[in-house]
Amino acid sequence: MAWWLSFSELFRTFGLILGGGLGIYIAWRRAVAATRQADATLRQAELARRDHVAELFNRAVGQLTDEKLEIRLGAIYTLRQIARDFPDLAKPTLELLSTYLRERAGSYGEGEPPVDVREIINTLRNYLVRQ
Amino acid sequence: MTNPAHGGFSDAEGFELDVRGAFLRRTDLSFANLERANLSGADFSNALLRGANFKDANLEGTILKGADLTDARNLTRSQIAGAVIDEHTKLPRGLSADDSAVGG
Repeated sequence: MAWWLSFSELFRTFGLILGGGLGIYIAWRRAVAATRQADATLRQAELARRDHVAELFNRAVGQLTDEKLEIRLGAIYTLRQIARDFPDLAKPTLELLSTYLRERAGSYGEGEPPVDVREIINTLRNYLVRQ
Repeated sequence: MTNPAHGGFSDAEGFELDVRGAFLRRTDLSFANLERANLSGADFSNALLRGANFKDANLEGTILKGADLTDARNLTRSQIAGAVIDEHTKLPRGLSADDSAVGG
């Protein structure tokens, strides 16, 4: 009888260990799956954000040549924000703004710089001062 | 990603200003790092360029009439010789209007 009780106890303990191990394994598999899902979601969100920024960038490029000052200003502010938020786009954005100064901004005589020129210079200077 | 301590820009490694031929009178690029910048032919009349770094910058034909270059760094005689200055141009210590074709 004692032998049977010992065997029963051993069997029970083994069952508990096996059950616990199985529980841990299932929890680990679920955690891995959840992490992969989160990573995929994050990648998708980043891709969507970059698509949106590319669209904003392209639109701003077009708006820089608009006749209306307020449209050009909007484009300059958008490009400034892109340069701030996306380090890998900062250089092309600053080069684009420099190109605007070379190719588009005309003479304003002896007066003060127009607001679009001033804002571009401020944007460039913000970067150039800290270099 | 944003670094407010640096004017909000995180990085634009390798960016060199190229504003050749641009009309930039009365603009303010004081203390800017203009290393290897191409400013040739640009009109910086009455501009503020105090403390700017001009190391290896191209100033060929750059108009600096009345510009303030006080405390500008790494500005050489040959750069000044290639630029156009006048009696109102404020040059950094050690450089004088004699280094350029004044009023050109």
